[in-house]
Amino acid sequence: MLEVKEVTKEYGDRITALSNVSFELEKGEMAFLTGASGAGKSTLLRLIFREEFPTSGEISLGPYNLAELPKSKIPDLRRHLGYVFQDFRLISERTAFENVALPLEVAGKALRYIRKRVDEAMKQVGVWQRRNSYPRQLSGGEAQRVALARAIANEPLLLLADEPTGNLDMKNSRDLFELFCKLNLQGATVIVATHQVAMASEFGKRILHLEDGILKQDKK
Amino acid sequence: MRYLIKTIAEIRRASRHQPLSIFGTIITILLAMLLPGLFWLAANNLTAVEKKLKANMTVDVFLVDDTSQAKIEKLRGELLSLEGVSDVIFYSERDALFKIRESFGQDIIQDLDDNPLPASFSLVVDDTVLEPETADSLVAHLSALDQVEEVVFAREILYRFSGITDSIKRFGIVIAVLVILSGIFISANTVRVAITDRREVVEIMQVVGASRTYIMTPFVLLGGLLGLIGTALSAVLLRLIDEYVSNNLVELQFLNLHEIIAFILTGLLLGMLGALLATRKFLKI
Repeated sequence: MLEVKEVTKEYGDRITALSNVSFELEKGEMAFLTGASGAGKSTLLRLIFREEFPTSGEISLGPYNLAELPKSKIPDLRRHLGYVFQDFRLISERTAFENVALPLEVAGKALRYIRKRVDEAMKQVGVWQRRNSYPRQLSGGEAQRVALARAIANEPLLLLADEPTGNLDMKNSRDLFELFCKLNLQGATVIVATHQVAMASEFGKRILHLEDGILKQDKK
Repeated sequence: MRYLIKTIAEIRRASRHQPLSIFGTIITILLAMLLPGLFWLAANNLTAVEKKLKANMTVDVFLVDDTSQAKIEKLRGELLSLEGVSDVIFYSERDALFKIRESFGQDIIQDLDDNPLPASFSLVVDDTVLEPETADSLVAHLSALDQVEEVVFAREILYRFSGITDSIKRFGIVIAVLVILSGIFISANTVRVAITDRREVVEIMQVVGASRTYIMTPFVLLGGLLGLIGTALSAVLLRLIDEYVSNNLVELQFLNLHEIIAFILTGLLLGMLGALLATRKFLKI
């Protein structure tokens, strides 16, 4: 479903963020993308998210060939992707419910469907009871779950998470990883980028390990 | 409907977060649009005066003394058949004397023994004759007619007036273009501040797949609304100025309904265009 083929990303002449990275991810598969800071994890996610363009190589996701995707089609691609950030990126003046509803609103879904789907997504990640709270009223763990609910609200082809536990303590981090695994068991295709290699290894999922932009290990 | 709700929310938020900027933009657009509005008003009124002048424009053909009645009738026929002449009025020597008395009073000619005034034809002409070349050839033609002593066609005043009206119109257009450009800039600047204030939200919108239209619409409508309010207030102020001048100086004719709508729509469009430029630049489209 996701095919990353000999992808290289360079910034100027000197910095090579990714070098000849190739892998495939099947529908319903989950992988932890591990590596130290600066290994190229975020760069790879940004390329899949089409925030940036590879210097060479190809990326395809379901029906989308990212190399040939015109700028005007990027919103369409993103409606089929879920993205979880380290810093949650919730809109402060919207309630948790309204934040989760956002991707469905921009996709032009009917209000009745939005209400139903947001309820489902929030129940799936266990924050339904906090639906009327504003982001400032949520704990870090809760805020990240709301962000996760937003990412799965539109039932994406692929769920991407970039250091989602970066602002969480160990317990919340583990709980969140378990939640990703649960979503994967329910059918979601997931890539979680993290520098917590040891914790990621505990879940028995595929590990894609990057070092200095090179894919050093692909352990299934 | 959702766009409308989003736009209202965005305007309320912008008014709360940047009230001075919003207020300042409306006032600046109001004052800026007043200038082309005044030129428009002036041009309209001058055009109306010019039309009136044209309608009253006559060519006076003075006849030699003692022209016989038969020759007068023959000449009348000839004059009526001329192209561009819509009517011919004859003034006898007595009529001329009467006109002078009416205009200047009895005293001016009471010491004269004879009536020195000649008989004349007054030609009512249409617009085609008012063109300089046609007018010159008409005067030349009339002057060459038998029994014609002199031809007076006081058209210079009309040409001078038309020249002034044209200059004001041209100057008004230049001013309008400059004002519209500055209005676009003002609107763009305010919307740029509004969208920068919402940078995080806009980025999140992009992440969840919002289209450019979805993101841009509330900001473009915000710019349009600022332009609309500023120009509508400008039209109100223009009306007050018109009333003041009409009551105290000279009767003015205000813009008609279509012109007022066009004036306000210009403000709406310049506001939207400025906002469009600002959002496009922000979204790097």
